[in-house]
Amino acid sequence: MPDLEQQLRRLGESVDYPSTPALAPRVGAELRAAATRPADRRRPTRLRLALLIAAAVLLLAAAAAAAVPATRHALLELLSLRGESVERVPALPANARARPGWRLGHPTTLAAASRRLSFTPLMPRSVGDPNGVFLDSQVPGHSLNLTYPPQAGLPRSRLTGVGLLVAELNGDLAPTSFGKLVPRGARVERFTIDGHLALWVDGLHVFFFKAADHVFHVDRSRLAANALLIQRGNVLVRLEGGFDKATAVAIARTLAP
Amino acid sequence: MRESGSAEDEDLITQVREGHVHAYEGLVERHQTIAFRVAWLITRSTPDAEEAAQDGFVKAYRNLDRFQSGKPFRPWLLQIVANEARNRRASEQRRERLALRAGREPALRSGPGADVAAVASEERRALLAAIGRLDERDQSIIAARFFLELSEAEAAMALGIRRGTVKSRLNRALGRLRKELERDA
Repeated sequence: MPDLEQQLRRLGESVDYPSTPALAPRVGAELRAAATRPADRRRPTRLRLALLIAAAVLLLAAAAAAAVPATRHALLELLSLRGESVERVPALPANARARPGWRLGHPTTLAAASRRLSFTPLMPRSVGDPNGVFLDSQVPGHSLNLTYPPQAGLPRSRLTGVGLLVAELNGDLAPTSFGKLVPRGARVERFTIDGHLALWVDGLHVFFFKAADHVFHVDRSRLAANALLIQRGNVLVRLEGGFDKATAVAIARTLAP
Repeated sequence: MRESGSAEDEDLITQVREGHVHAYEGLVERHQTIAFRVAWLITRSTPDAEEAAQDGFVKAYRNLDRFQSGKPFRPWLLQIVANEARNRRASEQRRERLALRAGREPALRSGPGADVAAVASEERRALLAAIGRLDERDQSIIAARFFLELSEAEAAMALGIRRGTVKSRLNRALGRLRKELERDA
């Protein structure tokens, strides 16, 4: 048999790769766009103050909970939906912070995103059309992020910068991609909406993305507040915003393909 | 197989560190083909490979302060691109298969040499089919070293393994490939 390694090298010369895309102008455009992002998308000073206040309240709540014998020795409580784990922790990481627009993914259209997703996206029909559609390809099967502008019943969230943030992923393919760290001061309620398992988290908590190592890293996390998770078949939907549980449940009830 | 790295890369990186984004575009042009092909061999999906390569370049730019001057840029870049590609690997099994470039095959013709050309063409097809029957780990190491001609260091970084593991993994993959070819002979 002729030398196998020589044969492999010759074979390598005849592999029909797809044409290399012109990446240089795209990368350049993306870097320039990031550098010229408008000032109002950067975290304003008022938000830092709001976060300091929120953090102080959190510490007070955690201290109060620790003083109660029944909770002082509370261990981690794990509530899992397919796609996002929710862990009760004694306190949030000290360096958790808000990151509006964090990890939304590539801006795209709903039609283009639908072709790439491994599930049929569900749209909240009661809040109009999204003003932003993003595809996050780092999640197995891709995840979809939709932003909605502030409107009646959906005030602008200081943590996300929008009225409503909807995130969806295939919980079967990405069972542990997202996580929540919920301190004792935040309320977690498990219930069902029209027969579908749902979870309401009321209060400041940390939302994070778990990459291949399934470990919490602070640079893959952000502060979040008031979020509803609902499991619709293999699709996990997250609704986040500065609204109450009743508003979130009403929106969730209108989710449809 | 060679270690990559060049004075031109270093000059461009110096300019980028001084704030010249256009210099980074020059760096992207120098390495976009190998970056895209590494991403494609991992994802076997052209759109995923494009995204992985583009995001890899952007991530490399944002982490350029962690890159050690004087070291070769390409292995460091390919590690980032390969990680992006692995994160994007399509969940469906539908993936583009390796195909041979038809124009590179010698034209089958009659007369002297035609039988040699036909045998060579058949051997290439048999080799490609045998590679297709290997598991993904074996395919990846063979593709990295022979198709992309990555150095041992680059292959290690792209595959996320230790440099010392590259040689042993390649030897085992070649052993299994020989068995597949003997089975067909």
